[in-house]
Amino acid sequence: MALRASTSPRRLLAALVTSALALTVAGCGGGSSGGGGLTYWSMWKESEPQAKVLADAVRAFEAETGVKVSVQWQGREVLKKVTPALRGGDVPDLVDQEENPIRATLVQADAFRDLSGVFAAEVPGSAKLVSQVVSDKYLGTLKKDGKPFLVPYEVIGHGLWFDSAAHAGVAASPPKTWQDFTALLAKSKSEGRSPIALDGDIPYYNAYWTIGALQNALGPGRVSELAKDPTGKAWDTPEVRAVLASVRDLSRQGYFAPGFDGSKWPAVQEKWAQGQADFLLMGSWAPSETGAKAKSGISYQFLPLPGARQSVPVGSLGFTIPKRAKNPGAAERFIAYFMKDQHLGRIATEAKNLTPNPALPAPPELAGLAKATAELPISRPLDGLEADYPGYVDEVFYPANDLLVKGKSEVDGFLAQLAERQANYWKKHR
Amino acid sequence: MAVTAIPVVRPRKAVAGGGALARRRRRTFWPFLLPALVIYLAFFIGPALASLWISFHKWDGVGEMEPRGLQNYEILFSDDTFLAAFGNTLLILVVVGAATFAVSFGLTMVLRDMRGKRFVRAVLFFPYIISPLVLSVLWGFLFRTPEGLVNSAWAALTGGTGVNWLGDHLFGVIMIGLIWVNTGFYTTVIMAGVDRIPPDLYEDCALAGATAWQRFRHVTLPLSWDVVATAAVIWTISSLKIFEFIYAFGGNTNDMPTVTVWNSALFVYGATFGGRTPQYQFGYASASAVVTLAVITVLVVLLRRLLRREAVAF
Repeated sequence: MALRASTSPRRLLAALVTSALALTVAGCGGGSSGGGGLTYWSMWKESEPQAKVLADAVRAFEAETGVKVSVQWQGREVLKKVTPALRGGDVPDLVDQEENPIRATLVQADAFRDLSGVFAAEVPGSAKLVSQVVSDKYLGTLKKDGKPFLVPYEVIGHGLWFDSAAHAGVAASPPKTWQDFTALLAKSKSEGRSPIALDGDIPYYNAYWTIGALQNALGPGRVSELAKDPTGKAWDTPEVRAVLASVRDLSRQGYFAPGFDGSKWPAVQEKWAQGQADFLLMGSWAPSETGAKAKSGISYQFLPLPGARQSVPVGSLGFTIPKRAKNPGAAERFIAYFMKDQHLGRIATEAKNLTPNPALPAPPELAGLAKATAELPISRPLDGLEADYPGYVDEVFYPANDLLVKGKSEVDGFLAQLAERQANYWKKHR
Repeated sequence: MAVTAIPVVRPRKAVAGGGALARRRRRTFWPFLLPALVIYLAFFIGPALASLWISFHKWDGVGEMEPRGLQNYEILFSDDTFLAAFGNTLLILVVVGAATFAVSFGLTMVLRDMRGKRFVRAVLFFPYIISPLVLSVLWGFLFRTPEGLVNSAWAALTGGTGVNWLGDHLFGVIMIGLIWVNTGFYTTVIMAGVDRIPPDLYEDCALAGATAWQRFRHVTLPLSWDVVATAAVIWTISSLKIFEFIYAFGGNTNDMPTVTVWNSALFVYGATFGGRTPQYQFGYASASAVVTLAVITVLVVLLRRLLRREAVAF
């Protein structure tokens, strides 16, 4: 008994160590990319339409080139898995995500590959270069020190959405100035309708209004300059004050549909899809997100937020390659391959989103957006605040802005709170 | 068993020095302690020390760590966002804690004499088992305005629109939710203590004509004091870690909850992985975690001193 008692813990320990080693070895085997193969970690889940389009392209690429691609459908948290690997460990050869999270991780840490080579490469079988297929209108913000870090394959535009079947007049002569727009809202209100749908529990959506109106009054990029001021006092100008007052008046005039302050997303956007409110300010996911709850016969139409210096805020989703990727050549080949019309086109036809190739037809519900991006200047969503100053919107802008948009603070109160929070933010982000 | 059965009373010294049982105990001390110790060192003490080390640096989690000395702590103590978040942590600790214990004692007094108390206790315990994420969804259905259950009921009864719970009193609603979630657990713990109190003491009280308050003040509280003291320490530690309920209830798929309802746990998340564009400030977040840990440690020590009483034997 005594003998067995003294040896069995050792045996147990040995068994534990062996199994732990076995697990480690198995883990390493699963993570490594075999020689010549390509490892791709995607932001999509396998069931999403984009994943289906990408998976088909991967299969076709494998068949044509003989390069083995191992895809992991990681989902939106993909970069949270890439970041720890950047310090040491297996990084994938190819990753896709929205430009902002990529900027906050790979670009911030200078761990991205310069993708100039991809833009200079030919899209197989098209006799065109990638740079000729992707509109350079979208590429201005996708560079660091002149080096491109992202090749976009999907473009998200932000603006007003309405049902053109119910509001034929708006579709025929869309409002161009803020005055035209508020006149339209006043008319709708006087006719007993709710002019605007807003899920006010999402601070991002509240910020659309204030920053969108400011961008359209001051011009793209100016709000970002205001946010850069370490004292936070740069906001206090007559021009900014006038815009802030007009945003506060939206709730004071009762233009927001009931529930905008106190309900839970997606309650109000569903009311909009049911025809209980006229306009919804949102990204180009609005039609697909509200589609299931929409009333029959709805005809989604896009309208850029009106203003004197109108622009369309646009964000991109696309491919990036970590600097430490083992097989960057194959990753670059795949990116160029995916830009073929037969693959990229399905981002529009099947995933129902806009592509960065203006020659490809847009899905019908995004036709207005495609037209606006072609005709108007491009700006950045939230003027790049969220992307360039991580944490700024959460800690500085949102808390002050939520109160302003909901009509719970005056312009003075907003400016005071913003200045205090902004000074606090820059104190710790020096 | 054989050893304890020996009737001879040995001198104290001899027992402490040798004795078969003591020797065997000494031999089994390390094998029994070691696994727990290794796990505790690897998963609790190690990371805690690592946090302390990281807190003296600026680090984005990818590049090299850049030594910063005490600068993170200097910034922290003048960072209004952190101070507000820490204030919320203390509010949860004190207000939610006091309310949870008051309600738990109240329920204990009611349940003590109630028929079917086991069933009721199980029902009360239920919210504690369910994922805070699920509860936060339910809580949203209750309190949203205008179509939530609470305001619909209010409108049906009074015809008025009621309070804008989520719009104007978000943190208040979060605190009520936390009280509701935690009450079941602390009721169960306190009841376990109260159940040990011999019923004849209550019969004595009844004969002497004691009021409910006097029964509580002179019998229940003193005789369950050690259980209450332990429960208070458990609450202090667990209140520091509250995260999911606030995160899921105040936030949504992409965004953190509004900064006005952050507690220090959410602050750490906000400074590292949270939000649409994360900040990845691991050094700064570690400093805030270290400060929170230090303050809570002091509070626990104080609380232990404050609640120390002579155990009442019964």
